[in-house]
Amino acid sequence: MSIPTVIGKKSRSLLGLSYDEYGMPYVIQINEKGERIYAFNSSFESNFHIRLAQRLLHENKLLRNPFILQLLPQFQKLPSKYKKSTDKNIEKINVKRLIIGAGTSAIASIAQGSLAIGFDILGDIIYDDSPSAYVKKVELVRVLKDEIKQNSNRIIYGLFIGKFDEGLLFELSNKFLLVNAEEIVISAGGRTLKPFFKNNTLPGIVSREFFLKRLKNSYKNSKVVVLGFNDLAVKTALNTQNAIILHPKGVPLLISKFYKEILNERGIETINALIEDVKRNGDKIIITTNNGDVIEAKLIVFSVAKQPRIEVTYNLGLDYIYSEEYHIYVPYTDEIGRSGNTYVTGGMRGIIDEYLSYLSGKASKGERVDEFLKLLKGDQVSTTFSFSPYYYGNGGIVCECEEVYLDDIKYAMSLINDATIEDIKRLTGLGTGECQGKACTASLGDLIKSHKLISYRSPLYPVII
Amino acid sequence: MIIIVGAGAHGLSLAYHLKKKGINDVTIIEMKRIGYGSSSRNAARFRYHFKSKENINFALKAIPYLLEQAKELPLNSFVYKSGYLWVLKDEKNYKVLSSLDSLWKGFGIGGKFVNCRDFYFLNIDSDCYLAPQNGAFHHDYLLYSYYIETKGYKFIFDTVEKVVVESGKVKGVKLSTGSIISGDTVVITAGAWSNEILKRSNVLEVPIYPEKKEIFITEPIKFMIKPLVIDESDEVYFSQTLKGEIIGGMSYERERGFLPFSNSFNEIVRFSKAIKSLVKDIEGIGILRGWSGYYEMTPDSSHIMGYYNEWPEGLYIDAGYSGHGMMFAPYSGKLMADLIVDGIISEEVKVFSPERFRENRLINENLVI
Repeated sequence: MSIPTVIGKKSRSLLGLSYDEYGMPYVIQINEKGERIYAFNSSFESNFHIRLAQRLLHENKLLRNPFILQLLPQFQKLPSKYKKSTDKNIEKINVKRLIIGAGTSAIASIAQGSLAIGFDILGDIIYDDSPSAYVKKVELVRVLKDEIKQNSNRIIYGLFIGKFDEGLLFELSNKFLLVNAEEIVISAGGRTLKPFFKNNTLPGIVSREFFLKRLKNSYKNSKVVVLGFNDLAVKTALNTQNAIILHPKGVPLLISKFYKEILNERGIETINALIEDVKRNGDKIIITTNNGDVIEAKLIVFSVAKQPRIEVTYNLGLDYIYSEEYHIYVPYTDEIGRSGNTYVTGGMRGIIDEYLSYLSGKASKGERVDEFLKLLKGDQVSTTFSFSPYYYGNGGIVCECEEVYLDDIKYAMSLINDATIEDIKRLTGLGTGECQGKACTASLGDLIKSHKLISYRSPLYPVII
Repeated sequence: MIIIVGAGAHGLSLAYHLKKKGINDVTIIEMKRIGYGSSSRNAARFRYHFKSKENINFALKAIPYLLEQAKELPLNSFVYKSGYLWVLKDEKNYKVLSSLDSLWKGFGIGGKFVNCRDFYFLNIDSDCYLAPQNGAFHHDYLLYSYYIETKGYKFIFDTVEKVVVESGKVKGVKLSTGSIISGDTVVITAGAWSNEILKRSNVLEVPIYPEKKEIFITEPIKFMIKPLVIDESDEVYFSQTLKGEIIGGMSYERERGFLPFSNSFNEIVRFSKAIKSLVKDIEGIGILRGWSGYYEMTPDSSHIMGYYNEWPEGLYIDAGYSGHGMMFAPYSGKLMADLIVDGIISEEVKVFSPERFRENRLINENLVI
């Protein structure tokens, strides 16, 4: 499968598709008939593009001329119509225990009176071939499949749209569901986010999830450069035959004993450098590092950190903390994952290992708590360092939807003192596009070490009524 | 020292105008973040078309001033004339606009009756009224321009517990952390929260009440809806941003008070259905985001600026804009700076003084959009 390309909304530049997750930048395209299609099934061409740096937008007084201003929207790549989709009824239900998600920890947390709603049943665990440090994965998958079978009437396909005055809204294939629950388990998982370096918009630079789910079979024997620095990067590399791990300068390799041994056994090379430039030559990506090394590969797969889908917990009113050690924003809970009548489990808590994720689900209903807490404490190697692992080089795109580049961020930060992500959002439009900040706010937050991100408001995905 | 309570558009515009006058000793105290309550949450439109002569007269000075400021300020505020378009589906609305039109003609801001079909994106076959003088801007760029320009002034992020008064004179403010910031002048520009501060300070109160409003934007579509469209019979208003999103909200009756900044699914459904019945080619468009904020309402839907005569010396207010505060912020900041620094009691300050509520000379305004 070749890497699909899309056209940047503002500049009409050709951009490589980086994600395959619904709701992430450019994943859904509106075609000429006004229908919604997945971008990974097609490719787009761009003949003409123009990028206006934000500094120019503000500093060139000609662009304040009302007549010129009104021409600006005409350059954008926007749909000319949205075709009517099927009408969906709205149904209200009450449940005892609502589980948001249907992955490993969600399934493990199903109890009497539960309803689990997720858009990818089992999810990550079935796409990832890398081993767990604690159990045989095939065994765990078998257990999970059994639990799914036993609870088949308690698991449904659906997407969490957000909290509203009337309840928690889910979109199912045939209706909207407004749910009120006595207890909520948030098992929405995590995702990897694109790091920053020059030309990071080229086709062939993709997320760990996109790679594992849709690309790895086509790239089985191809050279893959994994961007990352910890166990997650190793797990990604273990899904390929020919990977190297590139961790950025200033960021140490932090790998637990279990994965270090496999890394050595498999002879996976690691390189410590920044990316000076990336170019494409045919189907090859050519990376030049700041050490002067040139690396040729077919794909770059970013696996810096599995950032919990913090927009979900924020939307539900849970506070979060910035973990400087793990470079992620995690919901604020107690050790078990509890906050009031809400539990947070698995990837949503920043847990990477599948077995630990499973245990976190069990612990949310009071089972196997001791085992969970014991393993949780010994799970990951960490140490703080001052560089952001998202910083691979000086440049590149930060917000893909609104095409905000690192130089625009620097410009915004030069305007006011101590700019927060909220300030940057308001000054640059970052996080206000199609994905509503899912793809860029946490990575930029880590870069500038911001403790607060933005308000992730309802709806979290477009509501079509 | 001058203490400004509230870093929204009005507080920051005042700070900017104080700086222009060479005043160095200014502290701005903000409860949450720049523009938190209303300035960062509004739909960013400007208009001359009000119902009362007082507000029309104010707008006739304030809007040209906004346009001038937009040329000078450090950020591009994307100001342009978009027009306001009233959809007149029934006889009642037509009559209301006819009488407003003759009023507006007297001020030189008359619009025209047109067929809604002249606007190709509309799905309506009725009469419309276009007020072409009105327009749009980018509220955040206006707000942050003033913030950028007030670099050097001290900003404190904390809640003001009360204004400290001694023998009839303002002495400063007490913060929630307990510390006292000294100053001989305190200006309340705290929007919907303005009267809460007065209440806690045991001074004569002003009638300002929060009224929660919800607003939504859609996924982007090619730019076509230039004017702000107001349809009273469907209780909806909407327009389009330069980024292509359709932005708007519904009118409804709601209890006053500091209701949570949440959104109602029912409102999304109402808004979505309303715009889809009025605009072509958007049957399948999704609502991308919603948010809510407060209109800072007064009994006559008009702002309050200046002071009560019996207030402690050095206490001022500029608040209560009832949904049209953003567009007036540049000019109001100028008037307030003139009042505080030079003692200039402008005609506007006389008209919009809080004394009007005691003297029973309310402004006849009800055109709240």
